Amino acid sequence: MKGAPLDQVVDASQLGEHRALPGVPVARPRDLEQCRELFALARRDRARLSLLGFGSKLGRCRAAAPPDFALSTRELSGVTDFVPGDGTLTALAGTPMEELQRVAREAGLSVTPDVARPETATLGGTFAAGVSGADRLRYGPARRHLLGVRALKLDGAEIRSGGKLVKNVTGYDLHRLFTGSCGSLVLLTELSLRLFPNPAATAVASVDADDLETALERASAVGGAGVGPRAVTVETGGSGTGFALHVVLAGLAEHLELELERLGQVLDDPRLTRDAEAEALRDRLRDLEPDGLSRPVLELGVTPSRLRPALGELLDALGPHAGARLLIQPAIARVEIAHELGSEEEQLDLLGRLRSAIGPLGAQLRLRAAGPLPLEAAGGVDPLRRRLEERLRATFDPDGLLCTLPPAGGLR
Amino acid sequence: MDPSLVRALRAIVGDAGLVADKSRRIPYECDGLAFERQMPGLVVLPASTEEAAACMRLIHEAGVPVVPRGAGTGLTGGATPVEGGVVFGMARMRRVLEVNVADRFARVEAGLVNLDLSRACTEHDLQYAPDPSSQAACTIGGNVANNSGGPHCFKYGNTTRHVLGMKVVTPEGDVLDLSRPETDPEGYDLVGLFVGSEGMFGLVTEITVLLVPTPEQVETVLAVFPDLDDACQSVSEIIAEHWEPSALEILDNLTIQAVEASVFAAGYPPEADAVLLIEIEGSAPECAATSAGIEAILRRNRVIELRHAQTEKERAKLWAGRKGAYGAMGRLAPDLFVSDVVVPRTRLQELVRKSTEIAKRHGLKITNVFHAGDGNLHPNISYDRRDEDEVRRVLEAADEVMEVVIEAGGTLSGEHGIGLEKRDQMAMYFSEADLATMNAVREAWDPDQRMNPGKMLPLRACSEHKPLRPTPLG
Repeated sequence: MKGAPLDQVVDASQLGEHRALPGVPVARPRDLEQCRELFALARRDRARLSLLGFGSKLGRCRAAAPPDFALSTRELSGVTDFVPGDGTLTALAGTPMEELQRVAREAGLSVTPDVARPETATLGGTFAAGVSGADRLRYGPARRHLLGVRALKLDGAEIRSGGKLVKNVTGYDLHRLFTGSCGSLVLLTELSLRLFPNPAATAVASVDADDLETALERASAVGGAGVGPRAVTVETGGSGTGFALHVVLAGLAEHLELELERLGQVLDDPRLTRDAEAEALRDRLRDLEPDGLSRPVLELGVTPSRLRPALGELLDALGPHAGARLLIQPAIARVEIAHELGSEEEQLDLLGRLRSAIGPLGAQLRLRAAGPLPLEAAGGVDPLRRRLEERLRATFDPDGLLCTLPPAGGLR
Repeated sequence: MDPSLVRALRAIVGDAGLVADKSRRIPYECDGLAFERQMPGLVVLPASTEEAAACMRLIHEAGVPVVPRGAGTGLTGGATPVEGGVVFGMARMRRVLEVNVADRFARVEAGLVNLDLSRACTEHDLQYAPDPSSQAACTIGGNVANNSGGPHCFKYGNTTRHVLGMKVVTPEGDVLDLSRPETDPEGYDLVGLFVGSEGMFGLVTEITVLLVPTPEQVETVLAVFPDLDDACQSVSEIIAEHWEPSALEILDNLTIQAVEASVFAAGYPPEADAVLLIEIEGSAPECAATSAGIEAILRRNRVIELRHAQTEKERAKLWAGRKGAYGAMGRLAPDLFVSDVVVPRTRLQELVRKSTEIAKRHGLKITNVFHAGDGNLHPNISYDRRDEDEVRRVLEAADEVMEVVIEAGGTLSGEHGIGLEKRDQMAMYFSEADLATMNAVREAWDPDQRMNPGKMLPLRACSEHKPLRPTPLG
């Protein structure tokens, strides 16, 4: 990096690189004081920096400029407060999601979001990237269950928002602003979550379909069956032909039997998986979510009633790419398409065309790739919103040093 | 108020949209925090977002402060006018604009009464979940401002979990359209940040809210206890054993007596030290299993009677007692100080007892009616505001309760907000850096700080700052 070397603050064992940021030194501070010193270094040298955990969510963000260095929270790890009787857990930002799930599970509780590959995701990175998991259908977006945070501002001040209790309206919900901000405002250092009871039983009902339309029709029938699944997933077959619909159910054992009976009325002869086998299948489906690291991913978001027309428009517009690998969560109307989309320039061109095709349906389209995307990937935005977002960013980072931005919105 | 500004505003909203006469402005002097009153310079009642924006532009040019107001049912002075300022009332914006059954959302105007939204959805077997006790009067816009809760927020969460989008008139009079129900926010989560900002970022005129299916089956149970401690302990154990009813509400003996002597009489046993009102929702097997699990806990905590509502009428009656409790307390004294704090659910028993002891030490009459499942206590003190000494003791006791709650890891508010009432106590909970950051975020929305000035954020963010308390009338 330009200016003073990072080893003035951290030792050699705390320095490394990340595959999504080639050539960029990554510092892994061990405590808040080292974070402060790295921030001071950035301010002094006007060095741009990216904030990350393990960096697995970088492809969901955009880059305002190439960073001079990155700060990873992975050494800031551990559960700091766990109150099973209150159903709350607080941990440092670098704690892997897998560790949180293990701690919660041992007390009969579970953490939301149930993110893909939890061993590669930190708590802070998950919320900074605004990621919701495979349990979104049951619990809603993860940001709704973040109770509060501690965060470090670029000027070195530690602040907090919210708290550790399940109900709290004291002060502005700054933690909602920070969630999904991709580290463009503050470094999240500690987060508090509301936990949920671990379901007593899990089952998965699966059926195959020859074509996408049939798979979506069956998924739609599940929506009217009077069941409350944890997840409904349509995946393409491994060969790229055929589709499988999986309905993941979880809850009290007696309730689960009733739901399976109801599912049997709308799905012909579903394959049933139960208990440990069902949990393994649930986790496999969760981990199908492409990370965008090996090849780009298009992410479609739309209201459920417009899913089928929006997906139709998207696949038509993709043309020769229509045989792409699809992962659809019909009940929350999200689609992920992993495919080779050509050079960065071609990707942006395609993104523009696809957005024109689905825009009239009120759909959102985002691109996820191996590293922070160029700013142009965001698409157009209301100038008023842009002005407000720029003001908010300047409040926390007047010099624009935090150079990883949210995937969309008004920032440039 | 500048007559030319009044004329210009009248040209936009018409005679029906302007309250200029002093006698007609009196009802706007305060909200539910009757301690603090201020006559507004003018009241504007826009009938549309466009009218609100046009008015706001003129007011911005005139540099006049603005206070948004829903129904005025807030309890913390969040809608108390500012001297010489304009109150924006939303009483003429109360339409349901859209109920989207397929995608389970509704678009409504900010002045819509909370209960009217659920009524509009009932025919589709959908409901709007947040249900403040004042839901027959309070507005969705006011709920957004305060991030309001209610008994069923134990299961469904406060307002913020149910707001998908909104239209906001900015302090400069522009319309920020965030009304599309987004699966994930475009850019920063401006909607999430706005909810609970107590009218300090802009004027919300239209809101897109999540609707949830009405439950398949509902069981309502009244558990009667000879000891309030046992009722509290039961709730802590229900949470610790991971049972998930939809509501857990406790009423203490004085509250029961007030309710039973009122038009809200619900058949609560007047001799009981406490009743716990439990609601369970779900499928038949879910309700049966949850009910059995909870009953086992209640029995081991010495419950003396379990009364299951057998009909919708019985259920409604049990809830009428709970929701009418504040009205019933008018029988105890002319005025009621409604406190709102949250404590760890593992420490309910201890902190309810401590707050009761504090009030008794100050010679005050305290009642407890609260959202036990969320740890959201409402130690309510009945008093007479004409008695200056009693008012002083009420405020001292309220401060002591707050100190005890914060010491125990609790928080200032679970659903009522901060407003004027707890503004100066924010420094007990947040650091100067926290408060300075909140103020800076506010300035990003409202650089001139004309939106609801003087609320929520202490005038001087300093922990040594001696709390200012509202000046009582007397």
